[in-house]
Amino acid sequence: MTQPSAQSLPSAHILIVDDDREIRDLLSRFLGKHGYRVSVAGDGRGLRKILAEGAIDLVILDIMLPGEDGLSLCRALRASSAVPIVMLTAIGEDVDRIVGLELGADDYVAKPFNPRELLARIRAVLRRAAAPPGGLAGARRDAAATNLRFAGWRLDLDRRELTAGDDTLVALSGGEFGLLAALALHPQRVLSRDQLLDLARGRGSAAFDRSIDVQISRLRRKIERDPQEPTLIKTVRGGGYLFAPDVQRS
Amino acid sequence: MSALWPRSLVGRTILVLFLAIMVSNGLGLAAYLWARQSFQVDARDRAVAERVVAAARLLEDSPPSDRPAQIWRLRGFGLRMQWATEPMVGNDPDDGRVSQVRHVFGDALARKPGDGLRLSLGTGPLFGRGRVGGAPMAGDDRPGDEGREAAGDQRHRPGPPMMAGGMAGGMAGGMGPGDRLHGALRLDDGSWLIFAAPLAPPSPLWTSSMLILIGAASIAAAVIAAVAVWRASAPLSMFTAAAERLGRDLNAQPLAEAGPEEVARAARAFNAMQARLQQMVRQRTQMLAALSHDLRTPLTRLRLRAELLDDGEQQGRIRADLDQIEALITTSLEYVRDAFREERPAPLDLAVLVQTVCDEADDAGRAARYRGPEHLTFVARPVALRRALANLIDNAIKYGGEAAVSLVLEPENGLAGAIITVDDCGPGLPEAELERAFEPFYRADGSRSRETGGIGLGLAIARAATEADGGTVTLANRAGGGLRATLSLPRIEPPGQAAARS
Repeated sequence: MTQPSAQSLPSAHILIVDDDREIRDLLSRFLGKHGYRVSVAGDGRGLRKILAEGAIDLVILDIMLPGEDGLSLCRALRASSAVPIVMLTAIGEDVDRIVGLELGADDYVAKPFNPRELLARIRAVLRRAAAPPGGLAGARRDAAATNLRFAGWRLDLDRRELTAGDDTLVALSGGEFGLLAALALHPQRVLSRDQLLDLARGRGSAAFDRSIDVQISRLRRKIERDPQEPTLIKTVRGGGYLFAPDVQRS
Repeated sequence: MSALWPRSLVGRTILVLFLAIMVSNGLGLAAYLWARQSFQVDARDRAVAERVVAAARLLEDSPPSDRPAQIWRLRGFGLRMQWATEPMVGNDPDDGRVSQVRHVFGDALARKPGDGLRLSLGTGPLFGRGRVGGAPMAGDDRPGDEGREAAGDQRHRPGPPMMAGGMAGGMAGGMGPGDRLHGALRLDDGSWLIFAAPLAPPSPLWTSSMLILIGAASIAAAVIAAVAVWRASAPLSMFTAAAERLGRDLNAQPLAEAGPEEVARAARAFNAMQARLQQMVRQRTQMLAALSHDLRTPLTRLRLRAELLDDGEQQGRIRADLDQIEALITTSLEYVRDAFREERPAPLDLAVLVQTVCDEADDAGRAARYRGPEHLTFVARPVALRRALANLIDNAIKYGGEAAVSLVLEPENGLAGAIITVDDCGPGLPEAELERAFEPFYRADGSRSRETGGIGLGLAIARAATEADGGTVTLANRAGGGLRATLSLPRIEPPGQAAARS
């Protein structure tokens, strides 16, 4: 299992918005244990107050909040700021996830979440946010773009579906989806394995237990006309991979 | 008998109806024949009696000389008469046919005939030449004899024209014993009117036209009955189909509450049952959903607490326990929700899907191999199918160490269905358990199962998910050891569209 290298922003300031006091406290202790500075708020008012006070690097936002709910807070936040947002959603409720992502959240974690997974997501989101402008910042989902089209294929980011030209669904594993989405969101750009790992993780996929190379070769079997002579996902010697086709977003 | 007894309700009803029609026709025919017989006999007897009585009255009113001529005029119906001074006919015992005729004569005379009427069932002609020759016969047709006492007149003579020709000609031929009635009726002057008549011939019981008529009527009735029974049993097929549909999908379209009163009522009852079942399931689902919802917060806290522990070993155990609790909740919720039905079937690459599920298991460090085509377009519910396969593969790995997965197309009802098999190398299951393994919360072996962390819903969910696509899942022990799970999916698109993609 390849972990993201070092903690890129060990002193990042994280704001937790959750109405359950115990979860707030436990989560803040947990994140504190992993080197983050943490503030907490119980609702939208507290959130706004803390945001006004100081620089926050990331907001963890529960969907179920008293008063103004997490979704509308997310929308309001996104309208006024670029601060990364990780939503806490209900278990298995895809509607929350999709709506949250459309409203501009950077990632989501379903309750009851695995704290270590949340930690990994936080790191990936922070790293993406910290990437230099013109770098991989475009990795954040363009809220309007839910479909990526390339070479006759359609990748639906919300439904996590890959469809062939004849409308046949082609199954992808979680890792493959994350990888393909990362590639298709950065076409004609050389991506290193580490960059791909980060980007793919940010798409909400489970941790990779396979090397990127195995995943790439599986993807090629699925989408390349001739997996031996790939024309879509090209290997760049010494660099990583390059997604060759033009990608249209819609 | 049991071989002839049809298994289907329609067959049975048609057979019973046909038999009933045959019996009814038979009885009707018998009654008709009997009535016709007695009517015919009766009418014949009556005609004879009335003629004889009329002749007697005529003779009584006529002078003896006119009598033979009068008798001549009254011939017919094979009836032969003579006027005589002596009865010439013996008297048969008054029973059976004789009594019948005597009764008819009584009616014609409007009095009891008593000993003024002699009746006998004869065999041959009564007025044969030899036999009547010496007998005193009525019939002197000399004019001017009126008022004379016939009985006293010794110059009787037989009526020659009548005797010579008519009798022999009319009565001859083919009559058996007892087929003729011989009789003598005493006139009021004491002389006798002798008569002989053929008895009503027995009419043939079975004529071919009768048989054809009866047969045609029976067949026509049976055909009409068959059509009626067929139509009446059509709702039964409808209910069968509806019950099967309901078994697979609780949210199937309700029945139309139309048609004949009984059918509409049954359809209403059926729909009410479906609604109650849906409500039950909904309540159960809501309960579990509420439960899992309310468990989210404490479970999240527990997870965080576990992460804050310093004891690495305890931390690991708590994490494992939490994983199990969560798995229990999510799979139970998944099972009762039966959410697979809500998914729409779509064309998908079945080979890639199977391959992907194998890859995912492989990624998680479990041995799953796939053998089959690279691509195969098929119509199915992708999420449901993926879940079913993943569960079968998990199961194989859990109990059999590894999963060997294969995919083939197999002709099924003329359409090529897909068959996916998942083989393992485990100990298999006792034959009696193979079907029980699909029951929710089934555990092959309690202790082992707890070690492997299953909650006994994997196969139940796999089956529910497959049945949403109209497919089936079965388990069987492999000849060489180990268990084989077979998932078969029907083709749900017109053939021809399904060529394997290259």
